[in-house]
Amino acid sequence: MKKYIYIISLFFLVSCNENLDMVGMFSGQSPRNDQRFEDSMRYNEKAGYQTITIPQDDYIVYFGTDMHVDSTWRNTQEWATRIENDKDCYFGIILGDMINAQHNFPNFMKGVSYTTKPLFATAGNHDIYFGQWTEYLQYWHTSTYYFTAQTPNYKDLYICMDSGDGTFGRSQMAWLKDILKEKSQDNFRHIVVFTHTHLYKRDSSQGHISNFPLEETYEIADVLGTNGVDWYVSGHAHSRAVSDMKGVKYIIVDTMKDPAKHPAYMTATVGANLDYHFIDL
Amino acid sequence: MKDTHTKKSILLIIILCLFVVHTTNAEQREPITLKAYIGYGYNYTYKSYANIDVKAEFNINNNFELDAAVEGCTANTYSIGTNLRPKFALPVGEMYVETKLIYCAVVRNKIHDFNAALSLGYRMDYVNVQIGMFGHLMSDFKRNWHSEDEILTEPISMIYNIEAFVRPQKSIWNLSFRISNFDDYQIERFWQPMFFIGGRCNIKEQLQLLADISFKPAGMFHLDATFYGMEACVGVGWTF
Repeated sequence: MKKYIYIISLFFLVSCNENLDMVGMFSGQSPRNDQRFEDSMRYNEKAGYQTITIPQDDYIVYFGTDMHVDSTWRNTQEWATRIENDKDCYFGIILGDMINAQHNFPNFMKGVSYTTKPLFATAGNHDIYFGQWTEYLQYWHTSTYYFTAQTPNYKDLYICMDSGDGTFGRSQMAWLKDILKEKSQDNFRHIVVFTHTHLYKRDSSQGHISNFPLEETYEIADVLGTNGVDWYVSGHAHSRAVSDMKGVKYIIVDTMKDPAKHPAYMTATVGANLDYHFIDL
Repeated sequence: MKDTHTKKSILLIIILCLFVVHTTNAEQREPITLKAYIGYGYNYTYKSYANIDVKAEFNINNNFELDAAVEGCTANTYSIGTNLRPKFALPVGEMYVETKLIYCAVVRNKIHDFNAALSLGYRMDYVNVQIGMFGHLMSDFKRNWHSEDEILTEPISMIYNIEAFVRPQKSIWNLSFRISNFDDYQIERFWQPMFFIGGRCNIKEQLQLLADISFKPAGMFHLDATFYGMEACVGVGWTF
């Protein structure tokens, strides 16, 4: 009997950790993926899809992820400062898990306020658990959208997907297929899909990190591979990794959280080719 | 020297053949069970689908079991799986070592999916538990076989199965509840548990009615779980 009391007590002690949404393990507290997709589309219809005009054909994009901001935002501030100071960079992309748990978006926003250039974000699981979706919307408005980078001679397409609960869900997946089908006619130089959750992980240096169900993994690989997508960029696993499947490069970017031993971000050099570089903070 | 080596090899082969003959004789005395299922499933990716499964279970002798299973799914996926299970009787229940091989042709997405697993299990009347390791790799149908670029191997991970029965195994009917990251045709990543409810009813000595329901959530270890899919199937089993 003592043994059972010990196990149950341990479970409740873990449940009391304010950074772990144990209820969410059985039922997520934010709206589910299809509802979040509807919220995002409502905003997109009102605000439209952005085009970033870039005065040169070759440019640099900064990708940062998994900042897990609690009370400090040093690395986020440094990342934003480097974006601001890089004359070849015209926007940055945040791959989710900006905050660790509830009520930390104001701190995160202080970090990214060090750049005036546009930032595009998607929701990670930490951004929405504990029912934080409304907080996310307050700052970022949408987690499913696309935007175009228009250079003098080319245009590149960036598609943002919400994978905060480990699936794209039904409506969002249908939207992705439609957008890729429609945009594949438009002669984009590069197509980059970015989201929080990785599709594959080839090493277990950070332990085994959850991702998509297998059926969805195959489907996403096929949809991206048959529609001219160049890169699928994600975070979530906290350590860099690069894989190839069906002609698509799957890139996982390192964590940028302050207590991490080797925080890093990624820059993409976009030109005739797409090249990636991992850069330590 | 070479002759001695050849003689030893021949002797070894003869001993091995005698062992196989002995095992085969034993097999003829032990039952073979054939099971056939039809199922309906729904998930966010495939939407509605149906499948047909056929499974053969061979009790080779008191210490070996062999299963082979084939499944065809209207979502255009086709799987085969096999389990070899040496087992050892204990004072209560039995211990087994399971070698599992699964191949799935995901034709709809033109992807090969291979899994191989080795696990240790213990089963008794009311409980069956199993834990082990598995390897998983995926490959495009059209990959260049002279290159390793597009064979995606995932790190060795854990398989697990915890199953509880409401009645002893030899009862006429039984009901089971199971949490596991695998079934006969798929090994999910270890953070992707599936939940099963299984039922069996022996109509006659040789005939069984079978039913299974399974649920697959997404995002449990994102701490943001959501429904992903479910599957229900009914079947019959015949023991020869």
